[in-house]
Amino acid sequence: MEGTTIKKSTSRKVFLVFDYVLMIAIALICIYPFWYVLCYSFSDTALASINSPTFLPRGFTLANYKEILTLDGFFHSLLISVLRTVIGTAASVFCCSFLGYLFTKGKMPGRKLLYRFVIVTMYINGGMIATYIVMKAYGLLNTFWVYILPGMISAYNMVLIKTYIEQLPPSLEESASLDGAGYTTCFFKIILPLSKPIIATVIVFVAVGQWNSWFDNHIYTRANESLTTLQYLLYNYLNEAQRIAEQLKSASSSTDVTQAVAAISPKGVRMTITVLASLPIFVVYPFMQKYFAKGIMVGAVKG
Amino acid sequence: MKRKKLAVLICAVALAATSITGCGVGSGGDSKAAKDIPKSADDVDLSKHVDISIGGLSLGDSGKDAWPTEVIKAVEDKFNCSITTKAYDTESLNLDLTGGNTTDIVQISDENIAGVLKGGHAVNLIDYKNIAPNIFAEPMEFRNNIMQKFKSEGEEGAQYFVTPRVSFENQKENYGARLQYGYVVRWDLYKAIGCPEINNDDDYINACLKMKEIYPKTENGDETYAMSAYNDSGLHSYFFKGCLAEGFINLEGGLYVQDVTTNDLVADVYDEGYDGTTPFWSGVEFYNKLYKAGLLDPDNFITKSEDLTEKYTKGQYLGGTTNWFYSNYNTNNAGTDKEYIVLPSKLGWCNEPNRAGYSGKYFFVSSHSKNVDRAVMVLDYLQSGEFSRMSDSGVEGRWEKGDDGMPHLTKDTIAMKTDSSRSDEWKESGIGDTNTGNFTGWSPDNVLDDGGCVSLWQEESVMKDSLTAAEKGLCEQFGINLPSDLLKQRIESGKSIDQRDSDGTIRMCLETTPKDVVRIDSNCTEIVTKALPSLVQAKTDKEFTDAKEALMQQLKDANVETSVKWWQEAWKTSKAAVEKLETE
Amino acid sequence: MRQKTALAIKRPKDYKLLWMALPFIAVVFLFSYVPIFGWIYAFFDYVPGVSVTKCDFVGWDYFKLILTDANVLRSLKNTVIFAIISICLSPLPMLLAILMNEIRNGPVKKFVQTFTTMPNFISWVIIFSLATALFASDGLITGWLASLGVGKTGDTILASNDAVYWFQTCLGLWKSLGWNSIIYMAAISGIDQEQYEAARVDGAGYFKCALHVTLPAMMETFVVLFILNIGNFLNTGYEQYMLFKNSLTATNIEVLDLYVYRIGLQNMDYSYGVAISVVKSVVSISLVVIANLIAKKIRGKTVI
Repeated sequence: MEGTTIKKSTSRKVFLVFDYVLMIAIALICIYPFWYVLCYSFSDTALASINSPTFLPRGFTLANYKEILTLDGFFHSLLISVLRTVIGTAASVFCCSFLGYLFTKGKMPGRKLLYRFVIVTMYINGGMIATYIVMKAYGLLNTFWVYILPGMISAYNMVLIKTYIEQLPPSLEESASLDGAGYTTCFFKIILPLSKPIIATVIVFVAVGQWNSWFDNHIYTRANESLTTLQYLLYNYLNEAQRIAEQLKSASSSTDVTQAVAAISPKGVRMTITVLASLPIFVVYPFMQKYFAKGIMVGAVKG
Repeated sequence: MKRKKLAVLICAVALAATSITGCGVGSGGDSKAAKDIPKSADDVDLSKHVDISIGGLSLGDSGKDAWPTEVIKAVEDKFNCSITTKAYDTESLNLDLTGGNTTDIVQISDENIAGVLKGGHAVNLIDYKNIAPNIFAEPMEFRNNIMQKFKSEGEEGAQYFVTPRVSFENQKENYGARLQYGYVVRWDLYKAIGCPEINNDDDYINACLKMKEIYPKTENGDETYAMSAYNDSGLHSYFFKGCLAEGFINLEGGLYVQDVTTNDLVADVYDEGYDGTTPFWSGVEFYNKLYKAGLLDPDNFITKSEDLTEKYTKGQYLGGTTNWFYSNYNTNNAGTDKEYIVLPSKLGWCNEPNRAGYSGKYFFVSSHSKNVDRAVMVLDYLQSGEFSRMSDSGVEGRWEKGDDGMPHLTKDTIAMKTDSSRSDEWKESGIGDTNTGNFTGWSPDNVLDDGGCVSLWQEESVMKDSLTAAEKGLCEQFGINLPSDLLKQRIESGKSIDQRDSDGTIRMCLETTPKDVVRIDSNCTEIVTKALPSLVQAKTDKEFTDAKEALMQQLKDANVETSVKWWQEAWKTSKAAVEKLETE
Repeated sequence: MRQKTALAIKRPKDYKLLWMALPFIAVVFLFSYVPIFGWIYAFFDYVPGVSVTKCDFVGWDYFKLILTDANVLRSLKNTVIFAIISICLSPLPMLLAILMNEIRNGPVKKFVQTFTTMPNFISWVIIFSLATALFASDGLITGWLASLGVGKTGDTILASNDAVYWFQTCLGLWKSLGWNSIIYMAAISGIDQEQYEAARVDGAGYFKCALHVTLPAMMETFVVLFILNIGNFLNTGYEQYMLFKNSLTATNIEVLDLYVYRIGLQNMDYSYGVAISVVKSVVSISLVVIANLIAKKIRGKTVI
């Protein structure tokens, strides 16, 4: 691609130097805080609070990680988190992309109306209590499906995919449908392979959202401990520390202060949680990047 | 075509809406038919093992490292059940109430009472009188009267709630080993400047100045300051400081305070027509003086509790108002003189008689519970003296009857508390567990039939063992037994007061604040928060008075007078009602 | 593409497509529309835990209250300012994607691409404590700026009401820029390589390729997201603003969402909170409709 067709002019070189410097600078600004978080999570809590780690951990320790890894039900909740991420992402990506594809079809009766019907959901919500009542009426409370079903169709992701598909040359599909292929076949055989970049993007969006969400666990499935997700387990752990700290302030409390405070190290824990929360992106994202490393070759698909 | 579809859609939405609102909400609640209610504890079939969950806004989740503790196990064995606890927050409580699937026993606060009663979520405990001897025990009568008259939405012959930590007539005077609130100083520095007597804010500021002189920077080169406000608790840093200096107890939010000696309600910020200094203004003036003396942390308006803990840990503060933030520092410097200690201020935060228990913590048994009888029995037992002793001092065996016929903690128990290598064992014993303490019925200072207090930790010899090096130094310096003796002496000589004359019941019996007053108050708090910098950072008295005048005008524009009027009326009503109850 | 739409209109409708879409539409209806019945709480003095039928009906009272509530106006002003700034900055993720795309060195590109998304995973609570460490009066950057002669020692940006708008915007930008550019990276990958080759044959340089091939390809995505985001401009979230709010920044930092949060959780004014969110939804949808109409005027076809 760095073909000989274009000569690298001086201005191009200047631009490239500028571009590299700027991009790397931005990346560094983005890394530093994360590095700080990482160092803090490996730091001795007592030392870290005296002098925050700037470039290296203060008194290297795995205590924070040990604390979290030995939480009751850690591995079970990890399993639930992985399950909801995998199933939730697969379901949502399929629904959004297929629906997005259908919406590119001008032949669909009432297409515009239905498309807008879906988009409006971005701007309305009935509030937590009403949604809760509805989930209860559907019998979804304290079931695994409450993690999957409500988020299955995200208007935003659907729009992204639809917009992308619309940009593909229509001729491709038309030739296929002339061959007698149905919509489903077209979708799986032609559209999906061509849409890898956007599908990869949506996978990243949905997977990260699924992995990080704890609120649905908090409101819909708190009564069922076997459905506790990792994020909620960590959230509770952190909350407990904060709750004790808060309680010390209630004037009527007769708590033995020294004992209660000894149990608290919210900051180190929070840092550790952040590291754990961002792990999946390290796993998933570089893998997904290969789908948008190079542009697609429409010709290649055409065969 | 499109039109039609739209119309169909709207109809469907409306249909779904009506069908769903109709069901699912606020079911249950009709009081149980009389025949279902057991006549005595023997009628209740305990042979089936059940789960009893206790959830509350002040409670934590069980299932952490040591659950069930020895104490909880004793209850479980007694009632053949498994007990779990759950933390509620406003959101999850509202949802569980909406769905009618709360825990069996629930603890709520004042704001939720109307919803719980209107929605029929609580059982009437009076129906279960026969199996609840502890709730309806004689010393609880006053508390029960309050619950029946003020916390049952005017329903006759009904009591839905019980409170924890009720204090009785026989409550023992107790100052604790050390003070929690007052004038905080670093003991080594305070000793180095010759332990000057501190009688008021000015003495304290002078002491801070002297300490700063000899300790301008920490060993790491960080600048030292007297203290900083904590900005994640509203106006608390200011009015609470003032409460200690002027002798008041704050109502939540701090816009209104209660005079500890007269039990009058005083508008704290909007002090129009009040002669004397209200806590808020006392506190603000104090911070202003610190500012003018160059002792106030420049980040006074942005630090939150977490930052404060960090700065204390670094040793950047010379003093403070509360003991909330420096325990990390004290732990790091244990055994040295460099620990923080608390010296008494005008008001000692102790000896408040909670004759009706703690306010803002109301327990009820859910009408949706599958095991109402068992839940009532468990709640009743939590209200007993026997359980309270266990909760504070451990199960029998952790304490035993001494030669004097009185109960005492065993040597082993006392040793266990301070021995860090036995911390797991300590947690398992459940002694003094915060979670359990939140649903314990009796005040730690009540005296049981065996002559000992609920909490046996408050014997002088036990307390003396718990002193840190700095505290021992303090005692030596002043020739006293316990650091809290400083307060005791000041109270005896009339220089200080404690809360023994205050009546928390008036606060508890206030009617629910109407929505518009809540809105005014919340607005006023915002206005005051924004005005703080101009007050605290006033360079001259003139600047201060101007800022104050501007604030008062803003409050007036925000209808503060409507709020003041409502609060004064409500207070008067409540006070009269409580007095009437007492003379009856 | 316009041609395609024109064709579609003439073509007979295919009801099969409708049946295929229906299950998905049903899901949307069940999970997004049915809960809208909660809006009726705005017309009652709703107390959580009590059936609506037992609550007092208050009619439009809460909606009237919105109009007279000075806090709504003030927080609305802040929200609008934040929204205008963010609308002005909305092309930035696209720009970042173009610049990243120009990097032809694989590992460097991957490095930049991965790490610019990192801040998205750092919660606001942690960003806040980091910001305190860096920008408090004794913070690293404050001291550094002071030594450079910009700003005074002991002055902290965290306590500056005037700096609120741009400082909070910068923080938000830092957190989301890389993450938001992902979508444009995907759009770039979707460009048919033949188009580049064709442009090059026409003698276009790198710059012209970017201008005439890359940019137009991203434009469609940009315009769609732009219009969707216009509808979202009242939804700023509250967490960031709640954390950075203090007595000095309170005037400029309170956005509508933060105020609603305060109403709901601190004042327990549930019905009032619902009323505001109903109005917000109506405003959002109206804005999208208007933006869509404007787009139709300019581009000749609607976006949504």
